[in-house]
Formats: sequence, C-alpha cells, structure tokens
Amino acid sequence: MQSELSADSQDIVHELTTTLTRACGDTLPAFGETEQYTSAVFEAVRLELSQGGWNELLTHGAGGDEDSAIVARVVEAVALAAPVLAFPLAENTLARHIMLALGDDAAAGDGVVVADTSRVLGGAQESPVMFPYPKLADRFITLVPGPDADSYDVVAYESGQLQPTPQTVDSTRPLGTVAAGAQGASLGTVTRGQAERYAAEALLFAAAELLGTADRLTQQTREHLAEREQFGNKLSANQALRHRLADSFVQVETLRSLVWYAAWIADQAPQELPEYALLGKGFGAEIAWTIADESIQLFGGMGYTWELGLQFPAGRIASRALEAPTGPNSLELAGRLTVKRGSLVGLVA
Amino acid sequence: MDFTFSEQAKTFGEEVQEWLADNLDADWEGQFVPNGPEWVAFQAEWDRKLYARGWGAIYWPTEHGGLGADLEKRAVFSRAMAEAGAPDGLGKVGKRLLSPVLLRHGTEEQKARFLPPILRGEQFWCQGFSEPDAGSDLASLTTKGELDGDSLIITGQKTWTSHAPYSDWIFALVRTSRESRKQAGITFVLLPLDTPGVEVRPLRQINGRTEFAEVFFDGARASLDNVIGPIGEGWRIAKALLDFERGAEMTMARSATIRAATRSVIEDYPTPDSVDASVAQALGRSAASCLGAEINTLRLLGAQMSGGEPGSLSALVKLQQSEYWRAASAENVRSLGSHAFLAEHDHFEKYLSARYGTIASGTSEIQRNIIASRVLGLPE
Repeated sequence: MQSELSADSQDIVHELTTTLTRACGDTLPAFGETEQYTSAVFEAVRLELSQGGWNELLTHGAGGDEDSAIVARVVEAVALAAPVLAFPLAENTLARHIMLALGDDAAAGDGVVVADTSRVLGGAQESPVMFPYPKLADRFITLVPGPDADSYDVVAYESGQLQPTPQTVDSTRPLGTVAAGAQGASLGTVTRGQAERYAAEALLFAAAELLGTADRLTQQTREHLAEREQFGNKLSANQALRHRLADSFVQVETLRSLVWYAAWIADQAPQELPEYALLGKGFGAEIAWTIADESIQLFGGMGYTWELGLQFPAGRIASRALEAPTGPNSLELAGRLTVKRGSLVGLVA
Repeated sequence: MDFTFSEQAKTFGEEVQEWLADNLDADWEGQFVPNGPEWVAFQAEWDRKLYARGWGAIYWPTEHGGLGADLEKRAVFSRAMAEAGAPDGLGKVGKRLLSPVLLRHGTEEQKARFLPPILRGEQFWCQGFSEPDAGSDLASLTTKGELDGDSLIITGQKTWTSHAPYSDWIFALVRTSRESRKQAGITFVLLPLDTPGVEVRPLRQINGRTEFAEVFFDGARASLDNVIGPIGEGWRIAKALLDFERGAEMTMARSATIRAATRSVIEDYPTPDSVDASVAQALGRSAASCLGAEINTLRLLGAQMSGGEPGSLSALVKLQQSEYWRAASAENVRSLGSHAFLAEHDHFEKYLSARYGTIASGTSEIQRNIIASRVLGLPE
C-alpha cells in the first residue's frame, strides 16, 4: 500500500514543477482585450511546453508506469505554487496523447498544441468549443462525434482560425472559439473508448488543478488566521474559525485522495478511469468553490480587495467548474452510473 | 503508487469471506428483535464461533491467542465481516479496549485471569468512562473511588455504557483523589456488574434501540486486585486503549454499512430509470465521499505500515466519514420523497442510527479541535 509516487517520479515532478513555476514567475497573468501577459513569460512557457522537460515527459514518458500520475501531480503542484496555473498543462497533455495515438509527427516540436474533449463525456454538443490561450498555443484539436457511435473525428485548427471570446469569469485564462467559416483539418479518428479515455484524463487534470488551487487557498487562509489579531488575540483563537478551516482541510485531503487514486487508475487500469474522473471533477468543483468562498469570508475586509487577488483563484475554480461536463453534470453522470449499477462505485480490486 | 492490499492480505480476506459464506446466515438480523434475549444469545454465540475458528481477536499477540494480525489484515477482516453483515458480537469492548490495557499495564495474574475468558467469548465487558457531566471533557469525571482496606468503594454514575445490559464486567475510571491537574487522581478499576451496589439501567436511543445504559454505583466494593496500574494513574493507563489503532477498521466497516444502505435506497426508488437530476447529483456526491473515505483510509494504512507518521490523515479519517454518513443518510431519505413515509422503508431509522457516528468516540467538534491544533498548528 503506497499512495506516494516512486522516488524517481517524485524527482521528475519536483523538477518540472520548479521549471514551470519559474517560467510563470510572480506575474499574475491578466488578460484583457489588449492581453497584458508579458511576451517574455509567454516565450518561457512556450519553450518549456514545446522543448523542455515537459515535452520530454509527454514524448518519451518517464520510463516507469506512472506517466499520467506524474502529469496530475505536476498540475496539482504548479496550481499550489503559482498564483493561478498560467498555462494549459492539461490541454497540452491531452493533445499530445491524441496526436501520438494518431502517429502524428507534429506531436513534438516547436509548436504548442492544446486539445478539447468537452463533447465526449456529457458535454453539450451544440455549445461552441472553447480553447484556452488562443495566442499562446499554435494548434487546437477537438474530438467530434463521428458518423457512427463508435468513433470520434480528430479535427485541428490553427491559431489564425480562432477568435477570442468575450472575457469570461477567469481573466487569467483567455479562451478562443473557432471563427465563423473556419474549416478544421481532419487528423484521423479515434475509437469511442480512446475518446472517453482522453475525456476522462481531462477531468482528472481539471480535478488536479482544482486540488492545487483549493490547497493553496486553504494554506493562505491558515496563515492569515494565524497572524491577524483582533481583540488582543489571533483570529485563530476563535473556535468557529478553527472549525471552518478544519473543514476546508478535510475536504482538500479527501479531494487529494480521489485525484491521486484516479491518477493511479489512469496508469494501471485506464478503462476504469471515466467514473473515477467524473467523481474527482464533480467533488473537486464543489469543494473548491466552497473553499474559495470561505477564503474570501475568512480574510474579512482584506478578502474583498482587488489587491489581495482572491478573485483570480476563485475565477479559475469557477471556470473549471463550469467547463463541460460541469461540476454538477459530472456528479449527475456519476450518480446515474450508480443507479444503473445499483450500488456505489468501489475500489478497484 | 499502489492502492491495493498485499496478496497476503487479499488471501486472508478471501479466506474470511469463504468461512462467512459457510457459517453465517445472511438473513440472521430478521430473525431477532434487536437487543432482545435471543439477539443477545446469538451475538454471544457468534463470539464463540469466531474463537473456535481461531479468530477470537486476530490483533492480539500470538502468545495470548491472537494472530498478531497487521493493520492490513485487520482492515480486510473488518471489511469482509461488514460486507457480509456479520454480527458485531458482544466481545469487542473487552477484546479491543480493555485487552491492550491489560497487556501493557496488567499484572501477570490479571492477564491470566481475564484475557482467556475474553478471548473465548465467555466473559463480556463494558466501558464505564463517560458520565452525565463528563462526556467530551472526560477528565472532569466525578465517580468516586474511596480506599477502604483492600477495596475501593465506588459511588457515582456512568452513562453511554455500551452493551452494559448484557455484559458481565465493567472497567471504569474513578476519581481516587483531587489534584491540581484533573487528569491526575484517576484510577482504572475492574468490577463485576453483579456486585452489590451496581445498578444497570438501559438507555433508549433516538432510533428506538437500547444498546447503551446508565450504570449507577452506590457504595459498590471493588477489590484492589482489580485495579490496573498504580492508584491515581488511570488516565495514563487508559491511553493504552488506543494501542490497537482501529481507524482503518472502523472506516472499512462503516463504509460497508453505507454501501448497503445505498443499495437498498436505490432498490426503493419508484422510477430508477428516470431519477431526478438532483437525486443523481446527490448520489454522485455520496459516491465521491464514500470513495474518498476509503482512499483516505488506504493512505493512512500505507503511512502506518511504512512506519511513517500518519499525522493529519489519522485525525481526518473519522471526521470525514462520519460527517459524510450523516449527510448521505439524510439525503437518502429526502431522495425517496413521500416513499420514505412508511416505516417499512427503514431509511429514516438508518439516518437516526447514523447520527451516532458524529457524536461517539470523539465528537466532530472535538475532531475539528484536534485538526486545528495538532495538524494545522493554529495558535490559540
């Protein structure tokens, strides 16, 4: 019984987290119509995603059997370390997996590719697909249901074919949709099973990001309660606040259990991943939102200032929670699987 | 990473499952009135059956008749028993709570006198700790133990004493002196429940059952031969109760109860093919929390077995699962709507039974205090 990664995998996670966090720097990405993120940071991120250790991991693996778990841990760790996760690690991983499955030689190289799988597991087919960072990535791929029920077309767009969406709830993660009239290029097809696997991975990585963000907020709130004084005492002297923070901690650790377990399943029994990934995303969306809300409250007046910046992780949590399948949708889908089976999903034997 | 039990533990679990299939009537519960005389006799017989199989107390050291089972084996044993709906038996308090105290602090004579009949399922014990004015703040207990020659004269009252109505002996914490620290001056003493001056009054719970009792002591005389450890050091002695760490076992057992309750509520859905979205979401939430509890436990087991410090996981396992069970069992009732009105759908009774989880063995509020202080290190 061992919930930790192997020592080698932990080293890889640590190295990648350090490099990626350094690339993000202390700059909080804020995108308006004029896109304020510095080009230097952009270039550092592009380099790491397309040529650095991250690229190496996705192209050649880590040499063990923990590749997906490593990616999930990096996503979690960077979300914990950075003000908000400033680049599409999850979407880039998915894109690389899909293109490698197609034998596409462009999987590695100078470009940054991101993928969307929102239409596979319960996403609304009529909603426009939204790709993250339209000006950072070079290529955008999506899975479109094929003519039969057993396959999905892999359709690619180039960066010039996207238009920015109006500002969303998350100003640190700009989105783009396909411009009217733009035609995507078909890269091939994947089976339904493969598509569901990729979509499940998307949920897993979203849950990992929610975990890191919620963990960061809980730790920041803890520090605030331990330092701020009123009425001659630290705020943490008040039992009501101690209990609320304890509840946040319990929720974070339980989400950590779900994410780490799903990440292990992604490597060991990928065919089982979808239901566990739905649970991770659904539970994560719910508790992360509660924790973000609690953090604003427990920081008091300071929590309500622009300068403290809680609106950024709150916006990131909201955007992940609202991505298809949304948090509530994910729980509903998992619940319907439960009814169909007649019992709650158990641990994999 | 590896979230699976070892092959050895899995094999043991299969062995337990096979034995249960041959030795337990799956419908036993429906044959008895809970807590009635036949129910008590069945539970006692179950303890003797387990002993005959060599599983009287698998976590005891082998030299005292146990298997010396490690944490993993204890967890799979507990899970197999719970999944089969096996009776709890009447021996758990003696085997799990008193025995580590005897093993660590008892004299050889006390061990020889008490451990064998506990193991064989011939003698059942209850725990006399909580009092009406000393629940979470147990150290404030006031039941007196006055020295009189070779005896302690005990006067006072205990409450929430599990299984006292059908136990033979009680182990109790009594106050033998008043010191500046309230934890000091407490003594750990054993006495038979048929001692003159001891009265047991069953205590009925909100779910209608009587699994607990109040125990009144009116000048009851306990022999000093039945005091464990030195007079006045009972609080320290009692800490040995925790030697047989049971967080993982309790979680696995409770998880099986929750899963069984969920299966039965799904069976009771009027239209399972078209459950409302909110009901499906609630089930999804329940699935995530139930699984989360089990994985928290696996992480705890992994940390304990590798000799690491379980730290934060140990504190949160009980809190998370008991609060989840509380919420989920209430949601099970609500999700059935008016179907739940009839008592034959026993989901409301299951909810009332679940309410015990956030109160016993350290309330949720105490667990939160522990997390805030020891895990989060919040200054007070």
